[in-house]
Amino acid sequence: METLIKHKDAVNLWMERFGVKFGIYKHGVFNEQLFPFDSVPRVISHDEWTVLEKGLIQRSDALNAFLRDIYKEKKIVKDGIIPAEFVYSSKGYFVECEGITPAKGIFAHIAGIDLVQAKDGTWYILEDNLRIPSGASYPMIARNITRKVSPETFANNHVADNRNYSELLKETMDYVNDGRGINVILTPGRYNSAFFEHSYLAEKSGAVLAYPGDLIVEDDMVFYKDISGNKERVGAVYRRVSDEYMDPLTFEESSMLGVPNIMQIYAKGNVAIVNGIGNGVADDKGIYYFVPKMIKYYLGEEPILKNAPTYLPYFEEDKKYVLENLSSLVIKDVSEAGGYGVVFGRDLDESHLKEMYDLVDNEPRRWIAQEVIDFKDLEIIEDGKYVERKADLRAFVLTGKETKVWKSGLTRFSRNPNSFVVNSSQGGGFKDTWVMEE
Amino acid sequence: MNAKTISAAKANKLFWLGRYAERTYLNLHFLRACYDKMIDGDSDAYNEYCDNLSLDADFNSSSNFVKSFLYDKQNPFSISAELEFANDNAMVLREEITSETLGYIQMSLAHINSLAKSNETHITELQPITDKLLSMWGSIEERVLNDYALAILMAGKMIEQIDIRVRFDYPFDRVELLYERLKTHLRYVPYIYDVEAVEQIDKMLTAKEYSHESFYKNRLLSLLNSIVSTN
Repeated sequence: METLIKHKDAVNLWMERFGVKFGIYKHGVFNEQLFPFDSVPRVISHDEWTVLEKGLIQRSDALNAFLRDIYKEKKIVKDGIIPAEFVYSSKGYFVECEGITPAKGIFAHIAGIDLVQAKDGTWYILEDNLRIPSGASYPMIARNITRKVSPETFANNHVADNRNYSELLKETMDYVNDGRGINVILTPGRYNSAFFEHSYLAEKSGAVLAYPGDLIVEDDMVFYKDISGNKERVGAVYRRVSDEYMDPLTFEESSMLGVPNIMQIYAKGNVAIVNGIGNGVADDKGIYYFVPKMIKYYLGEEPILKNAPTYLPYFEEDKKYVLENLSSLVIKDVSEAGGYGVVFGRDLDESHLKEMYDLVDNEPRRWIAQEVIDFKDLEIIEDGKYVERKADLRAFVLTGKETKVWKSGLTRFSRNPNSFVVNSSQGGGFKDTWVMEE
Repeated sequence: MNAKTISAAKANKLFWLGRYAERTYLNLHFLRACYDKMIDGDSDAYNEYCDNLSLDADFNSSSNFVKSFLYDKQNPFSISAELEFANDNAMVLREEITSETLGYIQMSLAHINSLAKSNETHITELQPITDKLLSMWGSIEERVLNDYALAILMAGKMIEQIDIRVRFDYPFDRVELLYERLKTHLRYVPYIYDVEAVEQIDKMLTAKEYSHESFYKNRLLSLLNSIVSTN
């Protein structure tokens, strides 16, 4: 591994060469920047991975069962496991999806599940991302580069090859595609923060990269229009456009990013949409609390992986605890994402604590509170020296014929020594994630 | 999947990637020639260069001219600006042209940006960009497997070659050869070109009544630049 670390600059040059960037809007201005890469990988042993893999498959299967149920029979609500209010007040719940069963009954084809490891080695799930989780392309291309730069590192370490993510993606799309149309990746365009990923995954999976306006609905089918005027039928759309913008005739009418009438075709089962529309109800920060209960309810199993200890101020008992312990908890706004809306009580002065107290007291459904997990720090190299930083892991679970976990993941780290926030949008960097074969 | 599936928007990007990459390559060539004349004391050589490109610009000195045509992103004919335009198109074509091909544009851009920072105006420092652009075309030939995409890229490249050579008064028999090559590429993508414009250029060239007068050149350039439409 020493040679890999020694060649850190060469790795970053290759990243620049391949345009491995992400976009960020600051004060209304779009900037593209390189995603800082640290050569020291996160290493997960074979045994540790075996447990993680089982737990992630279990969690993703339960979340899919929940989505199938919640848009049809709603047994979990009727049986009193999840309060109805949590489902119907979720911003990710769409009444327009009621009664829809997507192709092969799969809603969450690609789950990006965020975990952290505590200092005692226990893994905790921080959140589930079932809409358009991004990030797999970065470790995938990083491995491609690090293997070139330091082949001996990989000859001497039995690391599972992670360059197969695009094959897993293709396999997943092919499974839900009825076989009569092409696979496309629908991107909002160049100025989306994850555009690199959209284009790279299209290149590597062989899917057509479609832009707003390229797809049309005719005769109850979705088509890709080509320059000659021909229309190619589309069987599966891996959409990187938010639910609200997918169909201006069903959701946000001003949307120029989606495909008019695609929801009708989706409802008829004539096109697969990856991930399904309406998945946000299952990755809502409030619903997160109930995922261990879902696992027991749908699968009849004990959860293998733990949630971070979480309180819902919606419940009186939890609210009392949260208000009494505000200064030691982390408070999250359920409607925010990307590291925004996360407040550490310990960072608030008295007046801000009081403000937070009132907000939680007056709008309990809007917040969840979690115990601060003392993350295990990971080493990174900064100015030629090893330093420790907070890091998380986004694991990718793909559901097609089988549910599979990609043997790698996106390890994001905070570059700020005093911060727990690892998101790229807030200046974080990334590492490769090595899953050992033996 | 039909390997030839290309949307109108993508065809437009392919065409302009071909044009801007070739424009950068050729402008580097003509800048070198201009620079060479200036070494011998022809301090006005840059005016001829600007005239050929129909630019009404006053740079006061040859060093201002060189700086502007290398690094000034506000000058659309500068190498920096042309590479940015090429990159804007290439970035959204990764899945057609491959990451490896895109890499040559990215590296060229990184190179010119780094030269701009150091304010380096020695023309030989630009050779790596010429080399990378040639490599890019090699990579395109090697890696772009979609015939339609390749034909559109090559059509952009050939139109740019003809355009600039007409502007710089190359012999018309050479222009005619390039034009025949352009038509070979256009045959693969009949729905992107204007048959009438092609017929008119055919007439102009087969009559062999060539002229370097501006009326003739402008007529030819106007037809040439209206041949392809990707809307």
